[in-house]
Amino acid sequence: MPIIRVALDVPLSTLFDYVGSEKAQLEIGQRVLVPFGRKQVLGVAMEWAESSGLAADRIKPLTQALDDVPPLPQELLTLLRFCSDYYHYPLGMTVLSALPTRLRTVEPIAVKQSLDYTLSAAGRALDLATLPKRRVVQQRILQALREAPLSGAQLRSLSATAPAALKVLLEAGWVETCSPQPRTTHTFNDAHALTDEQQRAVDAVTQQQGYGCFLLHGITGSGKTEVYVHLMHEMLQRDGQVLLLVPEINLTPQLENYFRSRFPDVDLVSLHSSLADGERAQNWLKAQSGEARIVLGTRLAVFTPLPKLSLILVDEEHDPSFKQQDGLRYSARDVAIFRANQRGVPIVLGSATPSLESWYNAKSGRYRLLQLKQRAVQPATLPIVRCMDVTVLPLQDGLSEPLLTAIENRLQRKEQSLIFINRRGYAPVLMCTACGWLSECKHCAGKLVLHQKDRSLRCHHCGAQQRVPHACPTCGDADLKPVGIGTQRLEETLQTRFPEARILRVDRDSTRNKGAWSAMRKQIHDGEADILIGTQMLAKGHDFPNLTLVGVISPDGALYSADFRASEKLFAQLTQVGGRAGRADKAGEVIVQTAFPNHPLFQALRAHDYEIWAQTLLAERQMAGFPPFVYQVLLSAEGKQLGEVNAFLQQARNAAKELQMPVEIYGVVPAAMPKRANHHRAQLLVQSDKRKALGEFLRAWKPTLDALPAQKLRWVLDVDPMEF
Amino acid sequence: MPQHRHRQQKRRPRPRKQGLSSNRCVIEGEVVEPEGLRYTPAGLARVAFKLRHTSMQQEAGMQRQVQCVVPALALGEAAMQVSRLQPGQQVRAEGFLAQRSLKIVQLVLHIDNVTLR
Repeated sequence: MPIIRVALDVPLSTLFDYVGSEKAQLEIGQRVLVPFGRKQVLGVAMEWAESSGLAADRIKPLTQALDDVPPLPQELLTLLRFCSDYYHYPLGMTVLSALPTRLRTVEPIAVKQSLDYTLSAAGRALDLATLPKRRVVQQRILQALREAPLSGAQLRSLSATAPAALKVLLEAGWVETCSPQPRTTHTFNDAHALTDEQQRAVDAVTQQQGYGCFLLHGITGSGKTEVYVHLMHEMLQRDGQVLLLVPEINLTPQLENYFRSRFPDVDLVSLHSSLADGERAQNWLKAQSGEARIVLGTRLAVFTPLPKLSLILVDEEHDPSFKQQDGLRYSARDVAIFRANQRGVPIVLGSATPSLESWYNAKSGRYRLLQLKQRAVQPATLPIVRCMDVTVLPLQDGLSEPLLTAIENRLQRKEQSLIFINRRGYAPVLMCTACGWLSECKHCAGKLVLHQKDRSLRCHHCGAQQRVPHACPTCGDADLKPVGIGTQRLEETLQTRFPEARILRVDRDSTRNKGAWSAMRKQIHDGEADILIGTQMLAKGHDFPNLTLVGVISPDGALYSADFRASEKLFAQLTQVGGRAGRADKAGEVIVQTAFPNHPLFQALRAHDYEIWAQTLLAERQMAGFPPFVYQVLLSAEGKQLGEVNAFLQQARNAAKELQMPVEIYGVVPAAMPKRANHHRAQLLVQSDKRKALGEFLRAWKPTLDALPAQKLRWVLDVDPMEF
Repeated sequence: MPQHRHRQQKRRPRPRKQGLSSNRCVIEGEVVEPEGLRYTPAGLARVAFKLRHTSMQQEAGMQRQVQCVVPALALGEAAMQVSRLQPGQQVRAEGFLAQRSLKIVQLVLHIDNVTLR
């Protein structure tokens, strides 16, 4: 009796045994419907087994094998097994979470076969001259189809309105669909000549046989994207698929358009969580069939089946968003490296400010370092960075006079300025100066942020919201004061100072509505905004040619932070946001308002010297025994009762000690945010200077953790944690 | 907000002692330095200004000259009244005194009624 072992979306680290009926043609990797308890649930067939640990009569038969989509390839299953094992997350949940939502449902999905288009008999007989002259696009399509049948992507590259025109032609009966032709060539808009540095980088990767990990370190504006484009071109010529991982959903439409413009007739799909379920599933299936040649996506795209995968690119590899913060807490970058290794293909990690982990690996020779030290567009130079000492300079609502003057100059020259402040809302806290009351969140350890537009106090941790009180709840004074500066307050201040200026605030609040952000981007590109006020949303990857000034307000918080990665992140962020200034032919300027102008971070920033900064940080980390010199795993727990949380972690700590393995155990300590949404949070950190030792420890420790009583709390194990 | 951590401990209002609750102040003078009408985060009107006072007063049985500039604050309806005043106008202001803030002991006259003289 054949036993099929199935991965199910349940929090148990086992597979489930079912009897595979003889009739069903069942393949490993296929989606199956099985009885589980009283329900029918969807799972994935993982492996055949000779026998089961269960008594024969307790093994239920499989209900149905779903054959609407091809089975998951073995390679992907191996990857998911690795992730489950490495991140200590139940295999079933790992496998199911890798599937697009639509494929986690039972309803069969119709695989949209993309068809080619060709002229019908009527279309061939048609005399083009008889068509009205103003139907330019229709004419162009018919003309093109005379030569050869074309794919939808190729037709789309003819005109923006090609889909509409095509529909008319199909209805008229002049064009018909036909099964797709295998295609070996593609159009490549080779717009820019590569610089020597770029060419060397491209050559190094294309000459790589099998697996190789490259760290592409290029200063902002050095044309990393151009290197990606040329690498893609090369791999497409070899009939391969390319996976490009990008940090942010916000960037994908922009990048997608860019790559489409460079490869107009290549099938390119994007994968990210803001796609509709159906669309995401179709894109995924296109990747699985090998039809999509370029796959552009956020971290979840790393689990896309790609039969012809020949190159993985990870853009902005240092970005924290590559690390998933719930469920399977994987780092898409690390999984991508494992996958490249497993498939024997090269992988390129690109960044202007690589993560210290990657930099260390490049320096120690595990990765190959490729550097781009010049800006690609010749006249463009790096911006001048100036630090304003806020301990000496008087501030007007948080803005120093030199910064205001600089903004004024830009307004006169009709150039754009960007003021970067990583705090949304009006003010981070509301205060009563008479008695010292502060707007604290009832449910969290944090403060309620004042949002002036709708007169509310909001908690950015738990989402609690209340109206601004008319008077201090403690002493009754009505004269409450906003303390500190957020994006809204900056907007108000700048609007008062420059009444004529068109100010655009870009933060999560102003871009909440669908399409708002892309509309704003267009506004910026069309020069319809003079001053941009933005949070980190604006820092990443956007290219605004008329922007020549970046002002940075109060970045110092990161220098006090308990997170040892805070200054690394700050440097990356400031380099990135500074890189927005002066990317076209105009010189850029960055003004940083800080209380520590002589901090090594700002010195390195002024000198545009990532290497020296990385060296400083690495020395610090080595001395303090932090990653990348050690490997960490964080056990964090949260629950309504602080006592229970601490008791659980204490037991976990004792269990860890008893194992007597070569790892260091720190804690139990409160989390950086000790209380969130009425849950107390605490943690235990385990580290070792050997990844293998830590892995072995975890394998021994995890079962005891699973066995500990923890009814009233939640705990998670985070391997290679990024947040504490 | 590390710079405010020292203020975090909650202060309860001091228990009001019976019989020690008188706090009434009446003063006449000239309106100087009126700030524009502003609003508290909750939307309550607020005007800060100063009153320049000069008069002759009796002290130890003798006449003497007195002058002072009193910082004043008006909220709500009183703020609307104050906002209509011009600098230099002579007014009679009534209100109570309170410390500028927890840390600044300077007194501020909180006005609840103001009339033109």
